[in-house]
Amino acid sequence: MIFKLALRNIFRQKRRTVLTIMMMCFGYTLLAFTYALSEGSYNSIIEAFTSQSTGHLQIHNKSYLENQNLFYSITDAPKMIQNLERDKSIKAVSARITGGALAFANNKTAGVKIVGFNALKEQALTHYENRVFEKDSTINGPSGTYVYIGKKVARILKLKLGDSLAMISSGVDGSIANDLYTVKGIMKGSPFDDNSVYLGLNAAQEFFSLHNQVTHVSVLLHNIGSFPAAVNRMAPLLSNTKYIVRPWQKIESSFYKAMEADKKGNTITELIIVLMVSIGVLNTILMSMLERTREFGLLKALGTKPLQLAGMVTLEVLLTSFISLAIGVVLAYAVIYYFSIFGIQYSEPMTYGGMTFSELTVEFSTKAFLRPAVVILLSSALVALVPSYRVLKLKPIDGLKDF
Amino acid sequence: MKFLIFSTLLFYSFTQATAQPMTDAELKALLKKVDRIYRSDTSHSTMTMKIKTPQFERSLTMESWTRGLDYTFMTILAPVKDKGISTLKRKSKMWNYFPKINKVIKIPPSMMLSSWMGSDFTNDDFVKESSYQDDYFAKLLKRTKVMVSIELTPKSDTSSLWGKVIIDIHAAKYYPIKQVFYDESGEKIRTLEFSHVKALGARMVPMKMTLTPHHKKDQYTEILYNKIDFDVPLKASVFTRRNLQKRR
Repeated sequence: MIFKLALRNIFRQKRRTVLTIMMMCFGYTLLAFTYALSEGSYNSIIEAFTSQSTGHLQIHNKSYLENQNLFYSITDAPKMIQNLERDKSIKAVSARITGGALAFANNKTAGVKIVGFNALKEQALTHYENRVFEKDSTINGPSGTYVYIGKKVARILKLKLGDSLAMISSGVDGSIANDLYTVKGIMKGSPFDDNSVYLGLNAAQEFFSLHNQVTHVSVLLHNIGSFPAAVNRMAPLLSNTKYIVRPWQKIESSFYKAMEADKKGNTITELIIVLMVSIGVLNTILMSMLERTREFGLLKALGTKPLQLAGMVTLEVLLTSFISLAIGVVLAYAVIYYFSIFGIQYSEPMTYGGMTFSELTVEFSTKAFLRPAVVILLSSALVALVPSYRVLKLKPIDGLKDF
Repeated sequence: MKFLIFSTLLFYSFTQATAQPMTDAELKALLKKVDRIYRSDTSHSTMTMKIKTPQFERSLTMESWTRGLDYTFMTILAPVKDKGISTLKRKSKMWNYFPKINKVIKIPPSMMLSSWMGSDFTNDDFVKESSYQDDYFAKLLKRTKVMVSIELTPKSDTSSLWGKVIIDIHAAKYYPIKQVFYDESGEKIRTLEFSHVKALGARMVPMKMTLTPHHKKDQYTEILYNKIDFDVPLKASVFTRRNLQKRR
C-alpha cells in the first residue's frame, strides 16, 4: 500500500523526480569516474615503478637488509632462478648485484649506483633496452667491460659512446675494487637510470669480488595483485631459510607510503563530491516536501499514522535513488569505458615519483562502480531522515493551514 | 708515626726501584727507536699481510721502501687482482695508485685514519704521518728490568685518533712488545702486539705484528715481515709520482 503510494508519488510530479534523478545520476557518475581515475593513475604509477625498477617481489639475504653488507649475498642464484621460473604466476626473474662506486672520467668524479645483471633476463623484467637513449648497436646489453650509463652520469663525467670510465669501490673481501670500462650505451633521463652504471652480472661479480653471488633476485608476476599468494608459494622454493621474499611495498616502503598518503588526500575530494550531491538531493527533496505540506496534513488528518507517512517519504527517496543508480551505472560505464580506452592526454607531461606520465589512465574495476553506489545510497538514506522527521512532527492542523 | 715514616720511605724506595726516572732525552731516544723499528734511515722490505674478519680472510704480499719517517713507497705484489696497487707518501702528502684504471688518488689528511686496503691498519699506521717522538707527550709509567712502559698523549696540534697510547718496550733490546690504543674517553680501541723477534745485524726486530680491534669480534690483521734490509742505498726517484705510476 505504502509502496504503491510512494511509486505513484514519484511519477505524479515527473519534472521534480527527473530533477532529483539527474542530480543523483550526475553525482554517481562523477564519483565513479573520480574513483576510476585515481585507481587508474595509481595503478599505472605502480606498474611503471615496479616494471622499470624493483619488480613485484624481491629476494634478499635477511642479513643484507639489516646492514647492506655485500658479504650477505645470495649464493645459489642460478638454482633459485631455475626453481622460480617453473612457477606459472611468475613472468620474469632476474638476479642482480647492486652497490655504490665512485666513477672517474675526464678529470671528473661522480658517485654512481652499480647494477649488475644478466642482459637477457633483465630485459624480460624491466625492458631497460627500451629506455636506452643511444647505444652501440653491435652489442646486446652490458657485458664484460661494456657498460650502459645513466644520462646524469654521462652529463657529469662528460662521457660519450666509446669513452672509457674508471670505477672504484670496495670489494666484499675488503679489497679495493677498481676497473676500467667502456661506455656502450647511454640511457634516457629517468630516475631509475640517471645515477646508474649497468654492468654484466659477471663483470659486477668480478668487480666486487662476489664470485657466483648476487645481492638480490627480482621477480615480476603476471598479475601484481597475486603477490601474497606468490610470496607463500615461493618461500619453499628459496632452498635456504636465510633468504626472504618481500613485495615491492616493503622494498620501496617510502615510495609506497608517500603514495598511500596521496591516496588519502583523494578521499577528501571524494567526500566533497558526496557532500555536494547529498546537499543537492536534500534540496530537491525538501522542496518537494514543503510543496506537499498540505497534502501530508490532510493525510494525517484522515488518520494516516505518522510512521506510515515517514516510511512513505523514505521509500520515495530510496526508490528515486535506485532508479538514479540504474541509469547512473549505465552512464558511468559509458564514460569510464570511453576514457579507459582513449585516456586523457595531459597538455604537459606530469611527473610523479620521478616518472613521467603523458596520459591519465582510467581503470575499469567493479570497485569503481560499487563504492559510489554504496555512498549514494547511504547518503540518500541519510537525507531522507530530514523530511521523515518533519512529517513525523507535523501537526495535521498546521499542515492544512499551510497554503 | 714512626711506622708511617718508615712505610713512606719504604714505598718511596720501592717506586724508585721499579721506575727509575728517565730524562726526556732518554725517552725521546727510546721513542725514536720505536718509530723507526721497521725503518731505520732507509729500509727495503717485503711482507705478507693477513686480514681476518668474521666474513672473509685474505692475504696480501707487499714490497715497501722507506726513507726516514717522511718517505714511504709500497706496492702490492700479490694477489693478482690487487697487483700493482701502490701507495706513496711524501712528507704530509699521500697518494694511492690503481694500475688497472691508471689512476692516482690523493688521500686527504681526513682519510689518514681510515682503513688501509680493508685491513685494521690505518693509512697513518703505514705511512707514519705522525711520529711518537715528535707528536706525542711521553710519560714513563713503569720501568722494570725487562720492560719500559710509556704513556703517550697527543700534542694539541697533532691530529690523532687516539686519546692515548701505551707502549711497552723491551728494556734492554729496545724493540716494542705491545701497543695499546685508547680513545679520548679512555676506552681501549685496539692492541698491537709484536712477536717473532729476530736479530737483524745489531738490532732486534719483531718480524710479526698482530693488530686486534677490541670492538670487532673475530677480527684481526697480521703482518709478517719476510725480509727487511736496513740502511740500504735508495735513489731519490723511488719516492716520486713517476715511480708510483710506473707499470710493474
